Amino acid sequence: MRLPASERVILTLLVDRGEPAYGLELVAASRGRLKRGGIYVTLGRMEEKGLVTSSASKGGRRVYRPTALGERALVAARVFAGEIKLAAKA
Amino acid sequence: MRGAVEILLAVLPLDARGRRAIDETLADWEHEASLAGTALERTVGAARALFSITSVLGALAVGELPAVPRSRAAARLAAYVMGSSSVALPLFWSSVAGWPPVNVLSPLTQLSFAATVVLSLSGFAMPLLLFLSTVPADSGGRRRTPFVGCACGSFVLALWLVGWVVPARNQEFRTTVFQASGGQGQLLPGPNELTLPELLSRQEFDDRPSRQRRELGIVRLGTAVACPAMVLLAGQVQLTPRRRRRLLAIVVVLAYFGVPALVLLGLDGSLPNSVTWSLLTPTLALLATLWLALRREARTAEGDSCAGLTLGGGDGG
Repeated sequence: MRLPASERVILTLLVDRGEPAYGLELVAASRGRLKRGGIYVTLGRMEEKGLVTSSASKGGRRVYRPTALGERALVAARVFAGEIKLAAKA
Repeated sequence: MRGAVEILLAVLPLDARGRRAIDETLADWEHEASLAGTALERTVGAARALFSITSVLGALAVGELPAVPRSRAAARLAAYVMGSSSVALPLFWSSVAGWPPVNVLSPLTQLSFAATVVLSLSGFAMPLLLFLSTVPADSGGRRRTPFVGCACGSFVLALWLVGWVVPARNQEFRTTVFQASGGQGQLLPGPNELTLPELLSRQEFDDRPSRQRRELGIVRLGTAVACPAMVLLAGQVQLTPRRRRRLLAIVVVLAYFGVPALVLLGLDGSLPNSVTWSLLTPTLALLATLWLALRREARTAEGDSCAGLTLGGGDGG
């Protein structure tokens, strides 16, 4: 499964955080790597892929958490990135 | 202000993912407004929310654009344009073929310029053709009509055609005929040969009054704006129940020609007919779209409250 940069950032933030997060919290924690205007389109796409899941909260807002598939996709992406770095050094 | 933005956004026929992204952005706006302590913080929050909404819509439109050429709506539009051109082109060509200035051109050049004229004329029918192309109901599945992509794409395409392509071809036609008839020197462009920015600017290009040029500019801009307005209207008509959809489509087609004609008959000449026509069409389309969207929202809310009552009654029993 191809993991675009924005999806990888979201999964990293959610997994490292260890607890569900709102879209705006992810934007704030990303330090400029995620934009407010694109976060929900990306999260919607990730939910369709099964990488994250969400539940409704008060005021129409939703909280997001990674799925098992999302966590595995992040591990695979990290391993792949590590191998690329090793190959580049060699 | 948030209420007004919500009403305007209700007009857009978005897919489920797009609607949810917009709803969540609006919920964030509401959340930030509840946390804001001062008017300045609320204003900054509103500005950031509006920027976010614009970005979401931009992302949705860009995401839908690749699906536009593959959609059934695009195939229908191509069929309508080719069908109407195949009737209009021979009629127009036969009517000007014997005209002395055109007669000096080769048949191929004549045909090429006749196609340009048909293109210019069909520009004014383009909003209606777009409506007829996008209004039929989707058959379901993945071939959903990409309304936002169609609206954005049609606006850019129509603006480019009526703003730049048609004036350039008009000037080319005049210059070709002028030179073929033995004319010397450079032929200055008339109002129909000026680009949209030139028409709308206050700069003097010829001896005609600048008001006349600006009116023509407004007509062309109105035509470009009418294209996305009619696509969005088609999106709202498509969401209405099947038995009323055909009736609504007929009303829109009649209104496209009938309402401007009625207004023009009643006008005392204070506003040029062409300007009225080009302004009235997108305005009516947007108003009708808004009305349909609000009715649908009200029905949905009514349905939700009825469902809640039923569930509540069941639980109580």
